[in-house]
Amino acid sequence: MITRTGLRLAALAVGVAAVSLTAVAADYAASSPAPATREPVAVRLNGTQYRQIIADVFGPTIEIGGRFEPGLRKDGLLAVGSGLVTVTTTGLGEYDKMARSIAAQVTTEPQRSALIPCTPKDAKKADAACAKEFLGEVGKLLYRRPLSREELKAQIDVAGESAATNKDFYAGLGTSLWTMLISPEFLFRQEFAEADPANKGAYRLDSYSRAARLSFFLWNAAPDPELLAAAEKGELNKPEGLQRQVDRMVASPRLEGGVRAYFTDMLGYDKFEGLAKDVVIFPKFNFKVAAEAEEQTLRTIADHLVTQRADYRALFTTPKTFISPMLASIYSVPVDPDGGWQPFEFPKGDPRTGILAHISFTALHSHPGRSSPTLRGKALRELLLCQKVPDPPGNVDFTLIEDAENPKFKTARERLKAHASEAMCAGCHKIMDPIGLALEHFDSSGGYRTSEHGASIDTTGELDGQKFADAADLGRVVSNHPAAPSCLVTRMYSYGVGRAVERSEREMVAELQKSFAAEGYRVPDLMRHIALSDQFYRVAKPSADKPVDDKLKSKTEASAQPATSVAARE
Amino acid sequence: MSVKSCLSVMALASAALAFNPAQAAESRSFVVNWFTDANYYAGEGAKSECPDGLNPSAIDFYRRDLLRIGIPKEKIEEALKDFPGEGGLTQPWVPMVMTRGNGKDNVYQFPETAPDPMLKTVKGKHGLGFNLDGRKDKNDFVDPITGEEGVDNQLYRAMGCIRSYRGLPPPGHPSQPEIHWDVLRNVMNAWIVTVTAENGFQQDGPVIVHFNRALQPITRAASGNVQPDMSYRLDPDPRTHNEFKGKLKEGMITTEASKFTMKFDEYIIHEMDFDKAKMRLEVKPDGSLEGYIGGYQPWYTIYYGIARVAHIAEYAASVDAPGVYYALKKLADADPDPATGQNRAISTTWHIEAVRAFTVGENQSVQATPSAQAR
Repeated sequence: MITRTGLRLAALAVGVAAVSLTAVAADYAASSPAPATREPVAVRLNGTQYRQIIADVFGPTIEIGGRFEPGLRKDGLLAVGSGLVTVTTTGLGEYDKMARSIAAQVTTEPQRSALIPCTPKDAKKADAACAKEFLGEVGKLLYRRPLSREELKAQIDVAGESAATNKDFYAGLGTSLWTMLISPEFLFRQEFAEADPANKGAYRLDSYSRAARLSFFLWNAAPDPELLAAAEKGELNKPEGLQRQVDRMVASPRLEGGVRAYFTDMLGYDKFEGLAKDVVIFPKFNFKVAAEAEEQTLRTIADHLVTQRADYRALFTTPKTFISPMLASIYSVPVDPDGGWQPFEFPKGDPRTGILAHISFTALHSHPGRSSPTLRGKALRELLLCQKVPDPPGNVDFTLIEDAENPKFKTARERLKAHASEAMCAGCHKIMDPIGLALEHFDSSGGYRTSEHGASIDTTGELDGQKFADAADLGRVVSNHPAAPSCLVTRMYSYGVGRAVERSEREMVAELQKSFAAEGYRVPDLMRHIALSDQFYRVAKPSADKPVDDKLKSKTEASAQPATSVAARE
Repeated sequence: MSVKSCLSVMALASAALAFNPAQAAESRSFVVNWFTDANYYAGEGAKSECPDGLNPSAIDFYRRDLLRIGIPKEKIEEALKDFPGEGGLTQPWVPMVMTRGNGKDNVYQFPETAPDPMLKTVKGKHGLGFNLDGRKDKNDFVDPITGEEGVDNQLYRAMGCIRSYRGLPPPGHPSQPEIHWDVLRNVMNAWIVTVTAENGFQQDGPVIVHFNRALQPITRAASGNVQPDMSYRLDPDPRTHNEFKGKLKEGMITTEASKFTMKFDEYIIHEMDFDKAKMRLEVKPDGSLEGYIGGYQPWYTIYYGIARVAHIAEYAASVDAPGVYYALKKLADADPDPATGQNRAISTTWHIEAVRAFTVGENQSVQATPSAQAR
């Protein structure tokens, strides 16, 4: 069981001993619906979530300058790996810098009237009442639950001591806010378990943990005040109360944020951060193109799935997208030069149909100087069909493939054929290359071509018995592939619960897959079903107290080792 | 010419095809990537276009002029001790060189306060450009690419032996014009060349070349050059519209002489103004466009383009401003002043490199083009 003692240790470990959180038993300042058993699943906030929370709590004008630590991809998702990662020394430094900056901005004179709900009696002195009002309100939003009496008192004390030292109430408030922003309670989404009264011996997430899981799943954001209020009243433990909140959240425009976050994770878009092309070969491709390529596909997905409520499978065949002037230069199409992002539809017969033909896919899964049918095929199998492709053996000779200028092998197909003639390579390449070769009309930067080194490019092939002629046709085959929607369902559930689907959940996931198909493959409906399922909130019996404390402590120390057992379940 | 009429010409060219389906009119647009002085590099040593050598560096012509107006050598050397420093007005040499004509007046505003330093000029036989006046004068060049005789490009003769203006072997550009253009293209609207070939680009036939300005600046590619295939909306300002009639023969586009004006940048050269301008352009295998435009330009605007940057242009590019003034004045070969007989224009040639672009006319909606067929 995780306790405040554990949190204090963790806080000390990250070098914020000044916070001086008092070690006490769990005790929310507001009344809790049921005593929590508090099985901890500590999930590190990612950069997008951190920024979203700060924007939600303090407004979008707060600037956040800093670098977030890279995530750990596990079972195909960063969301699964985020429950296994720690904060490194460097990462802690960045969090500290960001926290100081945010606290300073929030307490500056122009922001005070908007963000601080009270005025101190004397701005040069501590004011416990005003500090309590601000810190209680903000703390609830940052910690995704009300602060316990002791936590709140500790924060007020920090504010008071700092105000006295600096002779400035707002400096004190800033110090206290800073300590909250670097605390594990904020940086890690900590889940707590409680016994399920309806199922003897079973455990479920407590009310606030349910709210957080729900909110991060549907909106990729911390619970809003309405959801926290529902959690406080215990409504999320009742079917009708949960349904009311889920329906509200699915109907909200903020669902788009959740959908974008899911596909950012599923499609491996964290790789965009390091995406670069050989400038000599692809001078059109720069960091702006990379960023906009990612945005193009996310806009297309959000519009298709959320705004249009269209069939998920049609993402692989739709000619509709959004385009920016910079991307249009790679696609070689005219656009309104002043139009910024604009809806765009590739005409009938154009090879650019479906998200597989987007720059985001073809450029992300290529080498800096040449395309890669292998990487593209692997990505399609692993990201979109949930099929695992084995890593290449360590002693593979890549010479033939890497020598794109070899006059004997003009096209990638020819080079791969020669390479795959080695028996140790042939097996895996057979499942990747044919589908990747369908995209060979797109070079490493995503630009269109019909030939390579003067030789015509052949894009025909076969995916699991279904033949295709080119990239557009591959999109059709993928959209009809039964693994495409079932992969989405499995992975989305896994994304929501932050772990791989367990054996006991397979039947439930199969039911989700059936309802997804029956209801026209509409993703918002799928998300609603997941969020309403009892299984989504079910957790295992909590483990013993001390080891958990130690593990949480180790997570916040400068250790890069995954703390896999923190989220241990029976 | 307005954008509408410009588009009408393109439409007419397309309509003409209806009568002969075998011929397909085709329009291609390009955004200008480089626009630099077409200064021919002939070689080194005896082959050089500057057999008398290059003009001196700034520090040398400063010493020469300051000594001439009577400033003691020690004082000059003291002032030039940290030459050029950061080049600002607080540098001791700057106020001295600004009045180096007669010791009191600004030499950039009043270049004739200094005597003619007799710049070394180009002596070579070859020069890039066009025979603008139809004559073969003794001062004319032979174009090294086309072999055309009587080529009028006296700007090259005047500037070609200044070290920062000297030509470089292709694809190099003379360094100062390259720097000048590279800086200015960031702050000016893009220039757009649209070629409409009545019979398409694979067959000989008539062409119309439009040289217009866009409302947007260029976008840089990762290489630093202009990003190809960007879309531009044309500026409706008629002062930025030019039309040339011409022909496409064996892949080379040549135009008849026409007036050419183009808004340039807001800082140094506000407007390019060519009389009897001709163009020679070629669509390269990679889809880009390269060629030359030549004509007669008022030489004083060229001079003031340098004088406006004053000592900065001098020390950074070794351009002796009064020397350029006298050279341009002497070599000017058109538009004589009726009162004095002094020619007011000089023949010039500029090298154009452009990359593919899309143009969108005024109030014109954008139509998607199949990417497979776009190029």
